[in-house]
Amino acid sequence: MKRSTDRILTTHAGSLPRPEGLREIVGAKSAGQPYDEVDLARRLQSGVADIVKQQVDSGIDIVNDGELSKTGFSDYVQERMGGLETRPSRAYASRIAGRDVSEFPGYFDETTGFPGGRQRPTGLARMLVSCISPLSYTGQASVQSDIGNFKPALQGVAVEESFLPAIAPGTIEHWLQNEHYPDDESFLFAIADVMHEEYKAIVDSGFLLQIDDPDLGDGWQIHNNLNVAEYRKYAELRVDALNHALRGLPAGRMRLHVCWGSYHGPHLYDIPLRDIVDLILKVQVGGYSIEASNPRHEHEWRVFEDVKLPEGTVLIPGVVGHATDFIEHPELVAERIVKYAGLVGRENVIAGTDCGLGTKVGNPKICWAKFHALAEGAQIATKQLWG
Amino acid sequence: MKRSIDRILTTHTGSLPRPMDLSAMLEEFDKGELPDQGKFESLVRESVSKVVKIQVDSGVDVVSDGEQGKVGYSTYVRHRLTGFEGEGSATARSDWADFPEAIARLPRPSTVSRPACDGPIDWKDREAVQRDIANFKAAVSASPPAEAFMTAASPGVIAHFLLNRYFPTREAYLARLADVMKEEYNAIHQAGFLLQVDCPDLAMARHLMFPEVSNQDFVKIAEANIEVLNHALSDIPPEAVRMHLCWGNYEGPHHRDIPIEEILGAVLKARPQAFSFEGANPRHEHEWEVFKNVKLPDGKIIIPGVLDSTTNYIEHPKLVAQRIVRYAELVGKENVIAGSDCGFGTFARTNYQVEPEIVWAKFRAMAEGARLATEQLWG
Repeated sequence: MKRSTDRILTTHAGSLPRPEGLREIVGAKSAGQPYDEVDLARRLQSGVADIVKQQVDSGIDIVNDGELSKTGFSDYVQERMGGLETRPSRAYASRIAGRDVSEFPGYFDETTGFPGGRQRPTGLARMLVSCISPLSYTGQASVQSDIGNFKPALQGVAVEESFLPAIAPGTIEHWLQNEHYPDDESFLFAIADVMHEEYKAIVDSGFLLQIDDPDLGDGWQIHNNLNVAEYRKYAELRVDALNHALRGLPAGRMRLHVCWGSYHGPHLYDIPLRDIVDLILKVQVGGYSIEASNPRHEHEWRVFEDVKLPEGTVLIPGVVGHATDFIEHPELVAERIVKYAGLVGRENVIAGTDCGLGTKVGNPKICWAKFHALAEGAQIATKQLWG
Repeated sequence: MKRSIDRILTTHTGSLPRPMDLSAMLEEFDKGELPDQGKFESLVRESVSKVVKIQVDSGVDVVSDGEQGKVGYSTYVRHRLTGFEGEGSATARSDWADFPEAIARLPRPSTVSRPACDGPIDWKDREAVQRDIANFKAAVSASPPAEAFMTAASPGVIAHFLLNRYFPTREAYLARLADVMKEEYNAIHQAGFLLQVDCPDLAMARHLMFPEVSNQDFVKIAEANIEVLNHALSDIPPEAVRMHLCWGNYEGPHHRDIPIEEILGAVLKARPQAFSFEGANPRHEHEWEVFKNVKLPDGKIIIPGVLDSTTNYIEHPKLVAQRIVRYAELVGKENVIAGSDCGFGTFARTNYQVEPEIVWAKFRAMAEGARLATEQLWG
């Protein structure tokens, strides 16, 4: 994995705005409804090419495919796993704000648990998905299709590096109920064995693999009955399962993304980074992308005053965010980068985003403008850090 | 005015969320269709009393009446003055104009009307400010705060929202507004409250009203507004007044906002001892650095926003403390009061930008952050 050897590199957390009409077709395919295969393939091919170009034009050094083929960053694997059964479910209060919900009943919608105003629940939680027999990976064709769309999109464009995201076992557990395995551990390790196939396929293709692992942060609000010691035990098992899924794969070709759930809301009871940072850094990867620019987590750069990054790894703090449609000022971006560089070393910092901007900011153009601000801020920081 | 002598004091910009039924009534009032004046006035009185108590309980030191009885911090004056019967027009937001497809997704705009000035300006309801004062006095005697402030619109911000279609020049319009508004400013001062004049015209008007002029020419406009403001404040000692400037209290790109650096020289010429400004949102957070180069004149107090008024995220108290300490180290701890970027109830409306219960939680985070900063700064 490249690091910021002579300048601050830029990247982002994954999901990007979908081109017009694509989400509907991807959704139809996922729901088993009729769709035009040829049309979808064509749209994905051109969509991925366009979105790579858009990232490059916006100053992103380490680009991805925008997750265009996926319904969502997590539930997409429902189509790539055997052993599942899907049944309609009644709406239930979303758990990722589980500790905040009861304190802010006016803000959260009682039924969905999502903010009542401008945000609506996403695909999560409309169906109940259960594991009813041994899990298996059935997604080889899908992941190869992602790789096949991404490779040609990179022809003729200048990028430093490219990555494909995949979801972590612990986050799959958010929406997958175990009705087959005897306990959490065997269930998690079975998911890990399945996901190993996808992780390996991505690493083998030559792309960097990004593991999306919001559950390390947002599991705390979901399991609102646990205390910190109990939660750490819970999270540690998820980290062990993830490391099991990553076994045999080169740490230097993989990075981890951790956040606290990207919904706009109070986040009052988010678990402090301080309480889980050692567990995050136990994941055997070469880079750690962490939410760091929204008002609930911005102060946590100071955690790295006394926490050391594992040898040879890089930190990818969010310096622009999904939480607001304000476009971060490049000077603010630079300030944030320089703070981290001062603590972990400039060559060990890559400038990133808090979370995927795709569905969370008001408009695609806001996303690209934030990327421009990110790139300009990285340039300013580079000047300050390399002189 | 009290300053942070032995601890960091907290305040906010002024407007606070109104109860839904009051907002609905204010919208009716604004349309001239208020069915029950008595019911309205008692609801305002009750809301002011509640909102003062909740500020005190949430750790706010310098409290306001939350502007509960006003339809909006600037256009409320049209209900108190003659001369505003002309057809108005809303100004476009030049930053959003760069993102045309996004405009359709914006939350419902305020329905508060903005008529133009089309006749001579004079007082038609001198009693309105006295009602505000009486309500606020009753509320602070029931829940005593460290200090209390009341807001009023500056001539410049009135001219921003209510266009001139009567006076021969902008200067004449501003001068008349200043002469008239002076009465309201003096009334608030004489009542014993700190006066806060709201002056978003000094920053926001750059990208909303004057997108075509150069920064330099805009600063001249701002300076003229300040001159008029100083005239209107001439009866009141500087230490009894603070002012608020901002770039528009909306969640949007804000990439065309004028840097504070450009307008600070002008702002420092204004009479009020203290000025509050946005310091928390991601377009302006870095601007604390201007105080590395600009020396705060002796006696002046800054009230930087340490809470973003456009997001439902609750600032972490440690972030609040980091923000306060940065300013304190540059301008002196006794010259900093912690504030919010802008109001939490800019216009009476029936949907909230930030949910009331989250506003109070933000205030508690600010108070906690001020305590942490105080520990660091006074040791």
